Amino acid sequence: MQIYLPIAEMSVNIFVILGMGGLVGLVSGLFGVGGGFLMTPLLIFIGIPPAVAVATEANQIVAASVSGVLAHWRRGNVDFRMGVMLLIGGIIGSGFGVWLFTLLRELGQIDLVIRLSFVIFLGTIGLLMLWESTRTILRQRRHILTKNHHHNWLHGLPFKMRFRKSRLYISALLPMTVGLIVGILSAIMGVGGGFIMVPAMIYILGMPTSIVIGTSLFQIIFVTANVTVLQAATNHTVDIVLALLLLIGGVVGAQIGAKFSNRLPGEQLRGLLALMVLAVCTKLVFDLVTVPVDPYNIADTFNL
Amino acid sequence: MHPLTHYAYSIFLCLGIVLSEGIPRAIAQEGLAIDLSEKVVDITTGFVGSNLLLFGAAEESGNIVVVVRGPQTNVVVRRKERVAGIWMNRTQMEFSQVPAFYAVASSQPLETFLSKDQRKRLQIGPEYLHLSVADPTLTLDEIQKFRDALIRGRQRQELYQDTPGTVIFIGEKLFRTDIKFPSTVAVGIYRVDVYQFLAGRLANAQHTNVTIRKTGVEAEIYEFAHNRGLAYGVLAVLIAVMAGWLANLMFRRT
Repeated sequence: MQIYLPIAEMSVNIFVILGMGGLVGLVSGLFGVGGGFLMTPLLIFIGIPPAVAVATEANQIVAASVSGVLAHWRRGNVDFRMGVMLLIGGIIGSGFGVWLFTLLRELGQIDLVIRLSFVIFLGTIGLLMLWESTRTILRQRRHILTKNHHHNWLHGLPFKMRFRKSRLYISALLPMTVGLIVGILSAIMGVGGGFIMVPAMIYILGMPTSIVIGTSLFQIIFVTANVTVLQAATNHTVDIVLALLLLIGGVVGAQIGAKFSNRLPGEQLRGLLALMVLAVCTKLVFDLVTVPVDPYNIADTFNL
Repeated sequence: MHPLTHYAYSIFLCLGIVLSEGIPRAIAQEGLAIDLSEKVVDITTGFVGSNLLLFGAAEESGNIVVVVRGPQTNVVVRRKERVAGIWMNRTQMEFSQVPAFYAVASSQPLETFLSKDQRKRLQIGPEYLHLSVADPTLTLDEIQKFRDALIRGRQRQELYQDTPGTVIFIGEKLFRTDIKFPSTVAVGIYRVDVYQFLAGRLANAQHTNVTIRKTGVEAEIYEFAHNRGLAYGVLAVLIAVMAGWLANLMFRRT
């Protein structure tokens, strides 16, 4: 069954979109990740214009994060003070990101930048995850204690703040900078940025792992909401019909995924996710380096 | 529509033209009468493209050419070049007055009865479209390459069509052809020109319009998104928040 997407201005098979939403939802339920980093490339693969894919996916992540953060909030796993500091950076970053997005679109380079960003981040994260999960599997039965709170120059920065929930006394500039970078990526790549923010919060800020996911989801809601509104206002690229379809598939998929995640071994799961990430990355690289069918492409100026 | 019913329908309509009172007079005056199966194409949720039937009657059987032109826009064509192993857009050229849709159908191959001058004057055939380039610094050779690429790209999307032999005569005087709009067709007013050539000379010409428009929810969403982007964005966020909250409620219960 075909459905016409009013903003993408093309018709797509409704079951393909629901299926993709379900699949990515399953992955996000299984691994506890947002899934934007998989969904945006998949949307591009099926022919949705990258600009529409990015803006629409930001809209979908708002919903996914709201449903996720409520669960963490009930368990008291959100550090709101830290979240607000991340958010200040995030709002500035995503505002700048949308401006950059519009500029790149006018220059005709936005597709390339979106694809390249995905290649760089998916490639790096995929390799790191693969390496880590392999290492953990190999060392599974040994008990190795790791120190996760190092003291270095980062702790000498000014504007120190106490984050009671995270049991930290660090400079407010640190979470702001993390938020800023993630905000830019969110606007350009249509991702929540959890896959960058979570490691940054654990390894750079030194936050306890239990608080990290809820706090990052809290920040992601507002940053992706900001991206959605700005993209809708400047580029008119948010497709509400597409977002809703992805959402429906995503909710169902996430429920199934969450149920299965407890029964499967964690390291193997992470290895699997790493392979998936690398597969998407490889496909993107392949598209960038192979000779295009036609080196010429057309853009209507009123669509710019 | 099933091809056979379509065909029967066309004969029925063509007979209608000949039998009804008013139109034979039009033929007597003009020598050519045409009409379309629909004047309005609605883009709705299930839109997968549309087929229109054009039918007509000519007093003398000559060569018929049907040209459909969509609304004109400015178009940027970009060329990818390899930079450090990666294909990226490098050169670009802007064309003005480019029809969003352009289709030519004829009863015979065009070159068998039309001269280049005639085709240039009436803009018959994609390669004869008057596409103007704003930038004067470009060489003619470059412009030609980008023009060809523009036409090629549009043909791939079936937005430009060049189909000789698809105007079919039913008997001596009645003819019909299909106009195929793909699902990516732009909204606007489309002009349909029908030319009749007798012995290499333009004998008669008629034209009519088709309106392609979005209707229902699609139209409203599109209008809303483009005219009041900020409000649309806020609404999109609110819907997402509601949906997320609902999903969470469902999650808790199960």
